[in-house]
Amino acid sequence: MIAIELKRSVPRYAASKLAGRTTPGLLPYLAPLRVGHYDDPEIPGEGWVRVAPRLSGICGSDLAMISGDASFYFSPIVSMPFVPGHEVVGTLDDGTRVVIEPVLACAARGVEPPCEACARGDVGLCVRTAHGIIAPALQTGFCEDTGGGWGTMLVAHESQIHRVPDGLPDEAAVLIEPLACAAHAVLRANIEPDETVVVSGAGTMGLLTIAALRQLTNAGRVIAVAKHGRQQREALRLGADDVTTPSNATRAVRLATGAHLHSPDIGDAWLAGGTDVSFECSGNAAALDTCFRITRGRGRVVLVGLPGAAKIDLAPVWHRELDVLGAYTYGMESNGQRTFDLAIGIAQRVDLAPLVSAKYPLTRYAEAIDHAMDAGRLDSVKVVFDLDAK
Amino acid sequence: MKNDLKKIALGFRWGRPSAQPKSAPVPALKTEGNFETAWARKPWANTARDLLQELVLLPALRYVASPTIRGRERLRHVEQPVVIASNHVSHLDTGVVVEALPQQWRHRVAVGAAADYFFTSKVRGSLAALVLGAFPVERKRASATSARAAVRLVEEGWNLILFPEGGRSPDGWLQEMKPGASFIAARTKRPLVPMWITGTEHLLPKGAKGLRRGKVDVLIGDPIFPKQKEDARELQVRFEEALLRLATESTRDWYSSLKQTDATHGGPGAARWRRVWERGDAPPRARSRWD
Amino acid sequence: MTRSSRPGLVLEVDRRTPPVLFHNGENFRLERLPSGSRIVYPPEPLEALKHPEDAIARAVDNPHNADPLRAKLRPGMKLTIAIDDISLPLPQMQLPDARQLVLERVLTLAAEAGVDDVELVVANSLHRRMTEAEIRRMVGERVFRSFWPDRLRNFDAEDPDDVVFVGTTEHGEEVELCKRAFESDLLIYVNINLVAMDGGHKSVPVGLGTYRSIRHHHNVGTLLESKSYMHPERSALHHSASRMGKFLADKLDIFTIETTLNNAAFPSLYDFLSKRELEWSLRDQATYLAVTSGLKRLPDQMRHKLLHSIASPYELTGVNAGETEATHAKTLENLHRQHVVQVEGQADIMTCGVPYIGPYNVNSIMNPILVVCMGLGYFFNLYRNAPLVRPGGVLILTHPTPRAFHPVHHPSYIDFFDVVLADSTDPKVIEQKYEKQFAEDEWYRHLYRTSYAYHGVHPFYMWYWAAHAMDYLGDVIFVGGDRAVVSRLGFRTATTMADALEMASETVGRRASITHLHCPPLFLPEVTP
Repeated sequence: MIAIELKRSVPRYAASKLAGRTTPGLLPYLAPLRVGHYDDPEIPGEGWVRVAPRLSGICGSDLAMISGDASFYFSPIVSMPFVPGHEVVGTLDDGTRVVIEPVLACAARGVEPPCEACARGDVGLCVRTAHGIIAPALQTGFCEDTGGGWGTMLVAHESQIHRVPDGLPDEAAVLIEPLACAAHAVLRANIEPDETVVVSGAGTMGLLTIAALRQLTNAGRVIAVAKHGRQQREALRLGADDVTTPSNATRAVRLATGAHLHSPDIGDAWLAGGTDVSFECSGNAAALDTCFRITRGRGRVVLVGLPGAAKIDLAPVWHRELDVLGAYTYGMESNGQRTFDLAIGIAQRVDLAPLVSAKYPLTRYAEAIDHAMDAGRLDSVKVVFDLDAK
Repeated sequence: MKNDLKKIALGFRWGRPSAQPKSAPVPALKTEGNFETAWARKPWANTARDLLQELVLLPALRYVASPTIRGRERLRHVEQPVVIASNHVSHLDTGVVVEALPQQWRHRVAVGAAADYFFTSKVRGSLAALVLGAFPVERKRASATSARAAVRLVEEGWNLILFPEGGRSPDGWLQEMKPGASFIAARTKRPLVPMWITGTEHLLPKGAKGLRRGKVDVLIGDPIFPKQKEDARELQVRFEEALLRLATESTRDWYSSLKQTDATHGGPGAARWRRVWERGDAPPRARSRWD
Repeated sequence: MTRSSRPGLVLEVDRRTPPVLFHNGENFRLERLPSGSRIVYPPEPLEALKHPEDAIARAVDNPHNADPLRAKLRPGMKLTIAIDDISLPLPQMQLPDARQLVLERVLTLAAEAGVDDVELVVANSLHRRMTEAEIRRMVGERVFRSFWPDRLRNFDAEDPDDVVFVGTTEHGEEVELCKRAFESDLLIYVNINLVAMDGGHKSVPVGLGTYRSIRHHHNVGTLLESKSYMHPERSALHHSASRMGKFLADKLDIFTIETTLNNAAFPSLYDFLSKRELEWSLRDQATYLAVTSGLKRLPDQMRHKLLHSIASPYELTGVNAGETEATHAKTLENLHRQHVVQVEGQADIMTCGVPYIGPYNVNSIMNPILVVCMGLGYFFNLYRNAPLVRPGGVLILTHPTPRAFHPVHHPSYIDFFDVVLADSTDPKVIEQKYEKQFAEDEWYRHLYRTSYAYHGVHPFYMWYWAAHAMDYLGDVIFVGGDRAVVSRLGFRTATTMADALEMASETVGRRASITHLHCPPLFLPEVTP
């Protein structure tokens, strides 16, 4: 198979970490990535099938891994070298179009009996992701044994396989995985009818969160914080009531909620009052800081974007008695439905295909990654690899 | 800053008289009375002017205009200061009048110059004051301020040169005359000296761009002494008669001038070209300038 | 010394005309206008009253259509004196302020009559409160010390305890007023009349009115029908204010004292601002160069400070007192004597420079919305009969339009710019969709009452002020403006005047006629179309 592999290489890791700050254009070349011919991954055991990816997305967490910004927290549950890519639409050997639910939990690992979380269906919280018949990895796309979406072949356990409904284009299907994350985040927040919601960041996750909010909740006003023009237009299309820019976010939320605004001697302004819920979807520390400052007392701040190590003033969290909720992945929701099924349902009702802004063949991975890093500024949302392209 | 400076220098016509937009009202002259020229009569300025005139201006004038001066003997017994009133056809006239004056008179001369022409720009006004000893005279209407200033100059012993027409004649014919010179003479009881210049209009007529060489004729008339009870109006009548006689004397001869005068006010009252035509005389020598 | 005051002038630009001065925010620029353009210059300042104190005394002793003030004052009465706020005059006048002179006279009479219950209220309406220092400067030390802070204060239009609902006019306009004023036996209004828009019945019902009351005339519909509000007979705004004023006059004894100023707006150092360029001396030219290049180099803060510290040598040209309408008629007469300039015919293009100061940014920042209000609100509407520019014509303004707001004075402006204008620039849409929300926003209300903020609804009024111009004009171009800001405002930017004229030709053709309003100093063109 042809694939991009991410290796363990200290010098290249250091180089890309340095380049990421100074000359981001060099990053895809310096990163410990290599495109080449590799052996197809082997079927590790019973219930596993081969999937030939058709489209595979470049996710924010992939980029963090490449640029060396990802938290080392994950190193015990990642096995190098691996083929990245966990947002995958592909075909089985019989031609069935499927998306994979990438979490490699007890079922896939052949761990018996399953852990408590897996028994409940909360596969995202599986505590055995370093055990079983395959190498440690939280998801497909971080595992040495399974292959990943950025290669022409991967193996997946049947528990990971979801059929793509006919008529749903590949471009929409490739977004089902992140959409499931968004749906899970939205349901985590237990949104009451007419609550005001701020969605901070309007990349793929932010936009899909907006779509999920409109599909799964009766939220009142939804305010999207979007930096770039295309993002703002998509946010409005997917159901935001207002869009604002990061620099105006605090004031816009104040106006929408009728809160009072205070300006500290040092640091950003904050609201006495504010939004009921905010979703931080950019993974940016400053944006999270803003969310803490604009969410009302006992409101909820949901971390959707993957946050790294950051220095943030937690005084507002304490002072406002905020609920800070993480939202990693999916599994079984409290209403008894699998998150992936919900996501597939949403994808059928909302036109997601326009969010895929560019497709690249694997051989042009450097351009693809560079494009994905700068997606917002280039008026793009999702950049994907097209595995059928030569 | 540089652009602004350029814009201002061009827009406000630095070093040139400020041009009045066509639709602008006649400006209340900021120069009247307040363009200070007293410094130009301080000893240092006087010395500088003497040097400039004797070494540069008058030699140049003699080269260009070769003036023939007649009638200087009529001034033999006259004491300074006097009011000299001449016809006016060219910018050269001032120099010609100065040249025509007796040597010892030239050192104390002040020239009445149009406030709205010479004194609208600081540079131009100052230059005129230094080189010619000019002081601003309001010519559009009778102005108490400029008259007072002129009277004071005479009282301080300065010879005044005035051009009672209030500006250069466009065609060489004598224009209507303003009573300013007579007023000053009558007020100070100093003699009024008429002068008649011919020829400068060919060398540097009004509106000309270049200068050419030629021959100029200056005729000094008999000084008119204001009588004890005579007012400016009566003096003006005598002065105008004298000047017209002088004009006739200049073109014909003294005796004829006693019988009749032919340079009447304003010429034959016809179109400009006809007035120029009527005067007939062609430039004595047509040569390129500065040859 | 008697000063000769020449009337205004309409100058036709030819090749001999020097470049013309444009105000340009916190700086100035010289521009060459094409030959044939016309420049309308203000009249020169009228000769001032020689003894303003005596004139004031005479005016209150011989009022129009009312008893002398002396006769109205008696012991035990409740007397309220309302005073025009810091939006007048512009720039602030050199001391003593006209209001101080009037107040001192009125208070002398009140003291003689033995009136104890006196309160002074700044009629700031929905404007920001004036600071202690500003009030002290305005009323003078003597008055300030006697009354501050209990009996000399800003009006608070959001104070339920100081607002009373008076009733409804025959047109259904609700009238709400300062309670203290309404419950007084006598209300004296001390006014400064800078332009024809001010004064008259606009003083009491607006200056001491509330949002509930003011919204009946400060709205898009009314302002579209005010052509212009500098011409009270043709101004729906003034008709409405007059109805309210008359309604109040039936219920309340109002004694109006109006003062008019000449237009000596700038001190002698800045002579070049008031002089016609063709009369600029070398000194004026040098001052221009020094001032413009100096201002360019100064840090923002210092430039603000320097410009806002300019106090104008305004002088009183008249004082009138008595019943509001009779007094105001005399005032307008006096004002027109100073301000009116006859202009023949409308132009295709009107040009004007927007200065550093307007009514709503004294000691503050001229933000982009105030720039629009100045250019399209005030200067466009500075006419009697007909605008200087024809219907569908182009207005060219000079202002750098930085995205700068005073965070204390103009909090709601920031949101108006970022949220409202990002959505729409159509006054009608804005009015319908956002006005109520801003007017009732708790935070703005809080800042208006306790800080020094303009009322939440104030930026809307600024925008409505420009509605007539937006409706009437074919295009508006800002020379030297910030592109992003101007496009948010819904207008276009040009780098140079030549570019702006080029752009304007798309709308009005190549052979467009141009009229430049050489303003400030303020004046009032009377245009025969």
